[in-house]
Amino acid sequence: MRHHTGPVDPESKEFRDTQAVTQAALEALNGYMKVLSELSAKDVANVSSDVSTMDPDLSTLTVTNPKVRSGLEASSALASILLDAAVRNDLKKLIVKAAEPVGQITTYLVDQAQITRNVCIQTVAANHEYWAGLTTQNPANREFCSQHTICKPLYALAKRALVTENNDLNAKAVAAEAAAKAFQKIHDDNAALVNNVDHLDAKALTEILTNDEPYLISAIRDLEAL
Amino acid sequence: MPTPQQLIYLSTELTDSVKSINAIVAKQELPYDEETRELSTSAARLAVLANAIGQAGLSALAHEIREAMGELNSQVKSAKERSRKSMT
Repeated sequence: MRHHTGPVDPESKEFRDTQAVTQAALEALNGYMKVLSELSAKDVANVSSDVSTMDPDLSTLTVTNPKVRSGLEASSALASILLDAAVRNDLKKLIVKAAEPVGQITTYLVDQAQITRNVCIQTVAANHEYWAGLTTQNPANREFCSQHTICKPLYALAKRALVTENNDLNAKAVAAEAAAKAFQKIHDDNAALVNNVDHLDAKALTEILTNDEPYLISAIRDLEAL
Repeated sequence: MPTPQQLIYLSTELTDSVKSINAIVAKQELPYDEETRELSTSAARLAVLANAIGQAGLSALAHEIREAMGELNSQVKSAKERSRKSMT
């Protein structure tokens, strides 16, 4: 990039500040995504070991009776899932409380990527102007070039350098545009997650269990009837 | 007073115009004729303007975003602590 002709000064305080903020924003977003994935990845197995502490009476029941055993197993499974729901509640809290800052940060990252794309295109324009000035012919040049064949290959070489540099800048602009779209998708996904966060609570899970896993509920009732 | 977001939109609109002019200039051979040279000068002036507007918008956003980053880091820390307590 021709910094002396380009529209951006990478040494400027504003530019350095913006880059530092972008780096910090990416780190904050990565930290959030990591915790979100850790909380989401906690499966039933991780918390099922705590089931015995939920209801000591359950663990003292004799399990020789098949009906009791199936009920115990079912209640253990249900307790595990509800415990998992407690973890999901943490997830919900995080998603709801982080909704606004995540939205602001992803918006900033979209804009930062967009500005990076813009800067690449702006620098192409600066390059054109730079080479236009460098190759401008005064009357003496025109006279010289009309008498010698050396000018044509020199201009061809200059054009090649210009095209190479601009191709690189245009490729970077396309990459930055793709990054902006990727950040926009994260932004939209986060908004959708926040809008649907109620599906993560224990009540919704119980409803899902009632509708989709009726055998668990009936087994619990069997156990209660003993 | 335009918002930082409006400045960035404006910068992008202007840059899209620069991109169109770049495409025309790129097809010409060096040395440029008078018309192409004027076109490249106009595009470069527009690019400098678009750049100043965009950088102003981004700097303003960068200033605003610090609070959001602090809040997000605090939420992540709380979630980690809750998660650690639920596991012990």
